[in-house]
Amino acid sequence: MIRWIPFLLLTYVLVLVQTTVGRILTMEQFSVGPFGPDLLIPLAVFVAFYAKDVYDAMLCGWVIGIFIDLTTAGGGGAPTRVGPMAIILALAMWVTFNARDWLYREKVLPQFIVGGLLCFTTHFLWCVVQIFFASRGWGLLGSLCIQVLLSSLYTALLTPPAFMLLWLCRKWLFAMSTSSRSRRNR
Amino acid sequence: MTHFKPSKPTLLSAFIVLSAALTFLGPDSAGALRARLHWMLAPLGDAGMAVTTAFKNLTTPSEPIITQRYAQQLKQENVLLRQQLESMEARLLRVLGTLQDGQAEFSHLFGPRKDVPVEFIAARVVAADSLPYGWSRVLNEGRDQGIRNGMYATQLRVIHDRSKQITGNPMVISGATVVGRVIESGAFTSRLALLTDGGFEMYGQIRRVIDPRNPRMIRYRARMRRLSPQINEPVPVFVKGDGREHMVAIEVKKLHEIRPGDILQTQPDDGALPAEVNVGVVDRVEDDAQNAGMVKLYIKPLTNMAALREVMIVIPALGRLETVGHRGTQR
Repeated sequence: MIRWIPFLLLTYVLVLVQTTVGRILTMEQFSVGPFGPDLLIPLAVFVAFYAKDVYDAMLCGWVIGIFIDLTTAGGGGAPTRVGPMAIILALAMWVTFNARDWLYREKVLPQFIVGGLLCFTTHFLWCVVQIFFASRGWGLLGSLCIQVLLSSLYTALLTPPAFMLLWLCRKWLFAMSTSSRSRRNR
Repeated sequence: MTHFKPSKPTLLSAFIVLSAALTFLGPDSAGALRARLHWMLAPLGDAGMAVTTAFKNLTTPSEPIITQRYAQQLKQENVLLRQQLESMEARLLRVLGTLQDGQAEFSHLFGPRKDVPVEFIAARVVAADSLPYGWSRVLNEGRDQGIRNGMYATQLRVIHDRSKQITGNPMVISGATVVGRVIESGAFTSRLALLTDGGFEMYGQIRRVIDPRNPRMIRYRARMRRLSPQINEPVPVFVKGDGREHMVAIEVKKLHEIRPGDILQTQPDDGALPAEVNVGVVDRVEDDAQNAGMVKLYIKPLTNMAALREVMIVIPALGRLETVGHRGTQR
């Protein structure tokens, strides 16, 4: 079960870092356009891997997504809309949660791959939705695809080290279940 | 009395429906929502952005470094040009002496105002976008300080001789340069779309730079003439950010003979900034594949966008800003 207050605090801190000092990690002087890591993706992957309940994972995805939506205004050819990332990330969390049984969650390679795939899928769909609603800027999509691909690789590289940090505070994020059923299962 | 506690599926469904509704409501409601969240970022974001901009300034120098030898060459050239200018000015003064007296009196009584009728509000960048694909910044001043959507933001550019050490306050020898436009304004914060953002667009004009060593012929009143100050009229253009590091002006006639190095400026009849303020420099000129006889201009902003920290928001005193659209398209 998710401890919501620590989770919300951690999400807020990560958003604050990402929008300010985290911009140091963003590569802005490239001919394809700026790209950089999404520091919230490792948190989303971690929650999807270790949450007890699929609804917890999806709600966490929604919270992370709405934070991203509310702190992003550029990139879609016009001021962006609030909501698409929340929906996309909530649905992506459902997929990741259901796929985790086929993965070695503790290994670096699955963390790297899932981090990159989750970043690519969510960011690409977000860009497409924003450009669709802007009704313009389809010409930007080609370069945005490359930017999203590079950002996903960057995020994938950061996901395993972020997992190690998040693992240290897992007790802070997830409450141990105390129901009679779970005690019986122990 | 039973206490209603929604289940997780119900809560999730409600949130997803709410997100879908917000998506369809459009960017105006999104802007209002974002402005309400800025207070969570602005107070704590200042220190973070100070570190980021300092780092970006170190890693991406905003001005090209000129060599000592080139600086000396420029100085000598300046001396020669100044001498020529002084002699020409003396001639001009003799010819126009009597006329100027009358004109001065006339201008004093009926002439236009010399100063630009705008005010400035100093603001600081306190946060950037969460995702890296856009070029927008959150400022620490908002509606309560008089900032509205569509207003221009400028930055003072300091040019100095890098071969000399700067002591005290450096003298500003170049005016303001435009860096972007306000797209969202909350009570205490606002959001700026920078020139290179995919959603940025504006009307401007290209001022062709006259280089005596490299003259150019232009069509002027159905005749080919050498470009001179008397016939150097600005070329109106419509520019958009390309989402990368340039602005692009499309459908510009080839016969205007625009070249790399020419300057993009704001138009003096723009309600939001009624002056000719420099925006960028033409970086390259490409033939437009779709339109014969047209060229596409790639314009590089004069300011290092990644390291933007202090800006001046331009508040027009004429009260014409109500006509400026969401992205600044007013015509």
